Amino acid sequence: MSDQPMPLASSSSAASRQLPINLFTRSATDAIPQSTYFIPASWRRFQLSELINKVLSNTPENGKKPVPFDFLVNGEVLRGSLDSWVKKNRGNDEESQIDVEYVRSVMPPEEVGRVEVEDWVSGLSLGRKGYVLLSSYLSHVQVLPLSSASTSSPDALYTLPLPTSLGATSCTWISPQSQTEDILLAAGGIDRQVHVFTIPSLSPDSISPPRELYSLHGHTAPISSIIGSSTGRELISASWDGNLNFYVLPNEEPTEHQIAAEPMSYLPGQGNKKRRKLEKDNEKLPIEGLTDGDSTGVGGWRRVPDGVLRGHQGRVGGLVWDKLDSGKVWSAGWDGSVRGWEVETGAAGVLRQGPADKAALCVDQFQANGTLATGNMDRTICLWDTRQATSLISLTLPTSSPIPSITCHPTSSYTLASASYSGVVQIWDIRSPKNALFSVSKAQSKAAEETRKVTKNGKVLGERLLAMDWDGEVLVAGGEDGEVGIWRARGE
Amino acid sequence: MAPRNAAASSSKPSASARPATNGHAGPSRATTAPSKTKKRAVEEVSVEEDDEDEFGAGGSGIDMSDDEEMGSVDGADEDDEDAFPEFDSEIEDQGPEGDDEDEGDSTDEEYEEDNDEEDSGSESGYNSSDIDAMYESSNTSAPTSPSSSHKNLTTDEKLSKLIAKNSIKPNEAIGTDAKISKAKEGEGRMVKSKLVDGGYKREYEDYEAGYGSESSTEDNPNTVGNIPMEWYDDLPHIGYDVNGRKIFRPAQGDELDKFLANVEDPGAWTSAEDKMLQQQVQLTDKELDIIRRLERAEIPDADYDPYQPTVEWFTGEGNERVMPLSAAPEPKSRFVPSKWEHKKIMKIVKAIREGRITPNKPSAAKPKVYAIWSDADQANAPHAMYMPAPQLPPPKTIESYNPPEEYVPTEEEKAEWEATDKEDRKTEFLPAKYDALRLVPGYKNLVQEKFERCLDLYLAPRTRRVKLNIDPESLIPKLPAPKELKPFPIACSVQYRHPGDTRVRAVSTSPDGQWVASGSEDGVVRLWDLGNGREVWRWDLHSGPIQFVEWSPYKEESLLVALVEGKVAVLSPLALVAPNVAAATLTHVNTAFASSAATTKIGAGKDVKGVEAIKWVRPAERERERGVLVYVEVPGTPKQVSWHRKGDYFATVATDASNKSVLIHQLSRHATQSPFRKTPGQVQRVAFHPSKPHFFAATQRYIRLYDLAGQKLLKTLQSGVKWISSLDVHAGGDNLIVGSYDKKLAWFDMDLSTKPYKTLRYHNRALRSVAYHPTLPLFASSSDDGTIHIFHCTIYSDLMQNPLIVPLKILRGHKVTDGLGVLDIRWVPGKPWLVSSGADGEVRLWCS
Repeated sequence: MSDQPMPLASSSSAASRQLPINLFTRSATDAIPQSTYFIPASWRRFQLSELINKVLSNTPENGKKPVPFDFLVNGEVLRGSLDSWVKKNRGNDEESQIDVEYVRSVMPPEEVGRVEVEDWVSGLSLGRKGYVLLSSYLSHVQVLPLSSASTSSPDALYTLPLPTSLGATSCTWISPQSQTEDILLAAGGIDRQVHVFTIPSLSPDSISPPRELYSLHGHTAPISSIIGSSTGRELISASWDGNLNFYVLPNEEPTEHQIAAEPMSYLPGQGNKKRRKLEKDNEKLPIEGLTDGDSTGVGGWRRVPDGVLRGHQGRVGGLVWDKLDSGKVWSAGWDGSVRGWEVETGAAGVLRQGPADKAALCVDQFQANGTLATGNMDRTICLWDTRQATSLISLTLPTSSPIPSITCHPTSSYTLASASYSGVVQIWDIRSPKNALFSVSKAQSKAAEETRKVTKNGKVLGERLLAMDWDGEVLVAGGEDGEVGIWRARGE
Repeated sequence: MAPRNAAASSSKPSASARPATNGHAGPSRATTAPSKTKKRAVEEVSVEEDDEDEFGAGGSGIDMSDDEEMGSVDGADEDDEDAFPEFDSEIEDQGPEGDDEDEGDSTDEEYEEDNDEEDSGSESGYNSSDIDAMYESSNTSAPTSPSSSHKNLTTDEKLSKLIAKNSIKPNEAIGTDAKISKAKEGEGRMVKSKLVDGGYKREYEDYEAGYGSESSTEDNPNTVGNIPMEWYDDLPHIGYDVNGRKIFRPAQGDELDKFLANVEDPGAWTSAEDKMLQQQVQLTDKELDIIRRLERAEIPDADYDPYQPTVEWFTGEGNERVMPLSAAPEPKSRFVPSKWEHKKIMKIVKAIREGRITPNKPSAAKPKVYAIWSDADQANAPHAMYMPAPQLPPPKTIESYNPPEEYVPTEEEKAEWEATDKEDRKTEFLPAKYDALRLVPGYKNLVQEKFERCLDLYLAPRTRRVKLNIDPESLIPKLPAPKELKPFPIACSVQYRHPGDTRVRAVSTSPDGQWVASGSEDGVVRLWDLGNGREVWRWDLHSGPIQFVEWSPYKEESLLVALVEGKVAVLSPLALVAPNVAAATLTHVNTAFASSAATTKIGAGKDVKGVEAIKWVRPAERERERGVLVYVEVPGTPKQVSWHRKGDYFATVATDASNKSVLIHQLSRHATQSPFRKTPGQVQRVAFHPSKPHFFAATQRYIRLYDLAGQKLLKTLQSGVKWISSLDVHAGGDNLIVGSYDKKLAWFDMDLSTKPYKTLRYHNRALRSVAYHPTLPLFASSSDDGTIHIFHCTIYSDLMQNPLIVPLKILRGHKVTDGLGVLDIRWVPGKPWLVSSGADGEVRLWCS
């Protein structure tokens, strides 16, 4: 490696064989002239990357910084030398040309911190730069500043408890990034309601307390996913009952409930006295997840859905607002289907029905081409074509366990990150579908594991990840172990 | 020669007794004229003397006209003791012949006959000159020739002897007058008895026994037997008489003689050649008569009367037999089909089935040309029962005449070998080293070894081991590959983690497939999110291990039943379900409380004895808040619950509650019935029929199907297992699977039989749970060996087609703790997913 191998240099040493290689890329900026290069077989990623930088004249002499490249051969990232790849895959066939695709390298994620929560983390959102929105089965939503995450004891900016102690399953920011005051955020829970909270601002010195503004009723089963529109006024929630409920939040705070409150107890002959007494009992008791199913707080204004999108059989796993068309929503369900909905009309526009056992747990969309990616219970990540229906599932990425959460890179059309039940965060390049670019799991310290086996609520800690988010810079993932890992991960 | 004389002399009386036996003598006797005979005899003697002069010893051509003479002449040739046999016989037998000739119109046919025979002799290779030469040589060698002794007797002497012999004939008296003892006649002489002291016994003269005349050997002095006479063609004699003397070939004339004889002799055409004696024999009238009869296709025996009157021995009037001839009972073989014949036939049938015998097989055409030395087409293929002898092992190095040094025994080894007994020796021989093969001495044990080998082969029974030449692959039924039968559970996707090491005895999935309920031994019923394994609700029943948990299949309500010792708890996750579902559930369960003032309700089925002990108890308010709706107090420890599909009835089984082991509870009325007044055995499991008002109750070995409406037993299925542990009924209702503690799984097709359609044994330990998928063609079984086996099962609507069962997958992951493995399994409705609970405290979801 000491001597810089020159591009197109013919083999100086007799031992080094040369392989015919066709280098190409899908990126317009990094393209080099199409030709077949004879390259020493011993070259690795680094030398090839140097070669392309030379060709692109990305050299310090030219004032440009060299860009690291990754090389994909037959959908597989080149890890060793070309020689070893040929030996492994071609059986020493040195004659035939090798098509090598190069992409700008994605740096491996680097863990920068972790946040400990008292119960399972169920939802994460990086919707606002610098802050993590987190929902947990402790039945609260927290807003954490990312800057404090690196410290050992990050204190939440806001902790918003849900009215019941059954647990929150998902959370999202509703207000757009531009809105800095009276920010709306929503959390869905096992209690079948979406709770919309308002926080005055994200500045730490705000005085007015956050509160629950709305309770969105209408679902008959726990909420699985919520998304807010770009306008910050519309909200769609998906539930286990197979429906998508469309809510429009009023600009002005209403003064009356749209429906009556759900009965707290169904037992005959029970009056308010009883309930009040119960509530009083509960107040005395510490929050214990399952000791009661009753309301612990007052709750917001109760609202009913403005539209119900019906179609899924069984649970709806995930929802994503179409990143190109704001009037469209995609949902993926446990019935193995991916559906596109026109929000305004409530019409089911597109129906892609996959195998019935391909239960989708989550869905996200690539901004660039609108391809949907779903994480499935059958241990795959599937890419669904949304535009032309020539193929149902265009690509399947095999994983080792179900994928409860998936996030596509906000800009790149090839990179996506997934969290899995095996506790691994993986970053994939869909051009290399055989295995992930990176697989990282939280570095478990033995001592911490010894001390924390069971959460305060008596829930056994496992390695499962349940939620993750990625904004292209920061990747957060959390789950059963009650910890949110934070990584710096750039993926182009 | 004495016996022969006696035979000849006795021929007459015996012939008279049995005329048919002596063909020559019989018919002739009727016309015999004694005087004539004697005269002829004298003539012949003189003729013979002439002949003898001419021919020497062998010239007895005339005499050969009769069979007896041949032997007599030969005997006379060499025996001097008895000089006259020929006359003897000649007179007796020639006489008749002469009579024949008389009948046949000629008196001097003797010579012609003689010539005749000489001709035939020459035909068969000898002429008189040859014989002359031969006899001359014999004469020279034997100076005392028989012919010379013969010549010493004169005709008178011969005659007198003949007369003397005939005069003492005893024959006529014997057997006819029954005068057997001659004691009274005073014959014989008295001699002292050796046995009785002072006693006397009478001794008689020996007399010649008259046997032989009717013997068939009498006719034919030649003793060579029934052989092709041409064997003697090259020899001067044609056989041997009884004394072993050669019978020489009679002189035979040439063709011309024969022809002349034929022409001259009018009886020639009624003569035939006697092969044994090689001479022409004149056929008797009787023989001619037989020939004539044969020609006319009549019965040859002239005496046979085909139209004899019937003698009715056992039939007809007065002859009827009342009793059977024998008192022996009728033998079995008369009416029992023969076992041995059956065996023989079955042997053939077996051979035909095995292909050893092919009936109506066209015989294989032999190739016209084949390679003689080729081993390939063995001329003699070993037959079906051919059993080659086992091969001896090939010789080893130690048996070499020049073995390597290490094989050659040292002196000590040799001594030791010599010292040990023959049976104890490790080797039969001492290896020895020779420089060349030619120096190797003979092996002295060779004969012994060969003998022992032969003995082994002879004594050892050999059996032919029939090698089953079946391709094992072909025995496996053709099943679709598991890959084609996807989806089915493959891997563990979600774990529902229970705190501590508590055993999870029961697990159940809600009918909408969203929740998993588990009952563990710490007495807590937990409710889990199916998708991510989050425990979202729990009921602590505080009454010992949870034995069983089962969701109500009714989707409009959300109910589950948990069993603990002495109690059935009806639970509902009220906070987790939609308000309308919760309300419906509560209404359903609580209506009966409203109708009754008391918080406890005694079973409605009061008419059934013993159900009074069963109480429906309203739980404490706080418990009811948490969704514990009703407790049913039952005797014993209920072990299993089975819901009716409409969600109103459920049946519980408490094996230890004697006759109240099976109880059917009705939620809407809070009533409990005991369907069986008498327990049909230790009931292990119960199940409701998925569509009919039928009820399955599985005891240790039998599954009984009852009609609940008609209150009667419909069917008893015999499982063939020792102890049923689990039972599940297919949604179609016609098939059920039964798991047993003796590691077997039995599949019943109830339309087919009361016996299992298939009994599968693949688990290494006792089965704990079996489950059909409610909609997909799948079933699974779990066992104490820690595995879950997934099967595909297609049940065809065509009744003629048997269900298709394909093993798909073995799910491993549960650890075996305390000998217990996977305790309970349930399918997730609508998905090919399986939830299992294990003794290791794990509940797992297995996904496709």
